[in-house]
Amino acid sequence: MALSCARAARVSLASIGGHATPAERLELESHLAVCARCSAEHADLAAVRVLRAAEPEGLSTAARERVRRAALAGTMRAPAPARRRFWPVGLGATFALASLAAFLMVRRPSNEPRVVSGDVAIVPVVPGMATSPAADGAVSIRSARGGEVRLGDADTALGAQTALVWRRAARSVELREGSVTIDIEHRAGQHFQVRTPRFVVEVIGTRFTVDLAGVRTERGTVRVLGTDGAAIGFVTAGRSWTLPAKTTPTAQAAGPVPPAPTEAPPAPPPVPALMVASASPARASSDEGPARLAQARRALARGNAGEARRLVEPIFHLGREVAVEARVIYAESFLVEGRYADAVDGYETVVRDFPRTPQAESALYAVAQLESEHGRAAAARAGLQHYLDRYPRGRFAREASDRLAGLTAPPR
Amino acid sequence: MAGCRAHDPASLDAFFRVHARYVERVIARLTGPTPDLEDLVQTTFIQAFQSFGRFRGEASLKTWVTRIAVHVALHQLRAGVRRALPLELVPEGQEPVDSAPRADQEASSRQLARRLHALLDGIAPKKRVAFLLYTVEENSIEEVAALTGASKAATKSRIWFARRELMALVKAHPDLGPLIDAAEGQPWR
Repeated sequence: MALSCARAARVSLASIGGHATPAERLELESHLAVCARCSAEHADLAAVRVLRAAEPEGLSTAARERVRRAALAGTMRAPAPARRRFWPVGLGATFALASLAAFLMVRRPSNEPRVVSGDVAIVPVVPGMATSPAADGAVSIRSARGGEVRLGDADTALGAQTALVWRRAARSVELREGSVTIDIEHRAGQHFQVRTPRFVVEVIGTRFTVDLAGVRTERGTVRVLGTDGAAIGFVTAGRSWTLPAKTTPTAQAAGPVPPAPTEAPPAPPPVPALMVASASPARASSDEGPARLAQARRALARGNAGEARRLVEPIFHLGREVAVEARVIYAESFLVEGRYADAVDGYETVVRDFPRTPQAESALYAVAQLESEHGRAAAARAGLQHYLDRYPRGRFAREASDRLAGLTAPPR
Repeated sequence: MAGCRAHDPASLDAFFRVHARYVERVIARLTGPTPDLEDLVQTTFIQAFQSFGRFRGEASLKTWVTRIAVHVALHQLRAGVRRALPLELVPEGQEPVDSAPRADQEASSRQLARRLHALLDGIAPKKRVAFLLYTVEENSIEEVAALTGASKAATKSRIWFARRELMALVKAHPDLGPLIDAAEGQPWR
């Protein structure tokens, strides 16, 4: 029996979802052989077969373990999801408020400190002990054995025996003892600070570790300031800055939480000059290069961006073919994490250090595309024009021209 | 089940270990690649752990937790999924000749899937989710309706409109055709 085109369309969709019977599939094949329109429509649905065949990128074992611990801990701490408190209320206005609150919870990271794992205690700073605690939402955070806590939009890992004060309004951590690793994304116009009694670390978007003796930057760049605000210098990725041992305020480590830096001893000793020590990862041998690239690609496919970076960092020094691919993976790893500023930095490194490679062309276009997709029209226009000037017949020339025309079109 | 209702950590842990990978896969299928996957899976299990008291046993535990995962994914899609940059793919035959050795196939397949998910971002979340549950996750119309809390008629309508919109989106990107053909290993036209 011949299928009608309308029924063929329904069977086509059912067959892609695995719902058609063998008889229906046979009928469909017969119809597609003689009906060009239905055949073309069926072909357009091949995209679905590609999605079915592509194994979704799941969580790494470590990530799954983090989820397990956090879910169990969250259940122990909180009896019910916050938004469900709104459910019994039937009034339309209340429902709208609940929806808005849920929307904002997803769109914007919460400013309330949230324990992710470990033994972390959070208590409000007692009024009168610090400067205007009620106004800036200051809380004291302690951990004896280490743990993870979310502070605003920063993922924070506390070392053992760590005490700090988080000032939400100032986006500032005051480290009193121990060490803290901050992982934070760039937010335009907003800086994040870690203050110690002797120096201040200011960051735009990066990952870095601070203790009372210094700072080590894993990604991005941080600026080190004196407590009086005077700039000391910058610490770039893979480098560290340390106070000389004789001026390290170790005496405070075992004592009670001292007052905020603004209430610190009135005449602190002068901050020493910046001393930058190389802390580059160990270098891998040349025969490890291809294997590390393949492993890093797989890590990236699993969404494990940090692992991908750890795999490629030791092969940056190898020959051009390996090094450029390692740099591309490094840049892509930031994209996977949604760290666009770092990704742009990574791609620019590819363009700058490997200008005559195919990857440089892709990277140059990627930078312009990222600028465009994040609303930085001027930078996007400049980037796209730069790409077209450099690769007038390049692989992305058509897309670059189209995108540039869209950016330069007069408003309707 | 009684242990889960009583918030017994060992029971909740066992529940997580049985269902975690499946929940990851469902959410990843519905939202596409996103750096927020970990948060979404965590949200799903926290909601499940806190809702065991309301589980009436009318469906299997797997169906019940899938329903929660679908709602979490829908919520995320409505808010806007964060994406990694879908780098443009190089059409077959135009690859750079001096490209470094690498796992090209794997990268291309991953990038194509990302690009297709980015296309799906152009379809309303309710329609997209119903469509993917039916075509990719192989759920029946009745199952999709139960998972999304919609009627059968509404579910059919959503799937049908999503199909039409996806076809239009694919047509609007003619460069995708050869890449999809290559990924499938045979031309469909």
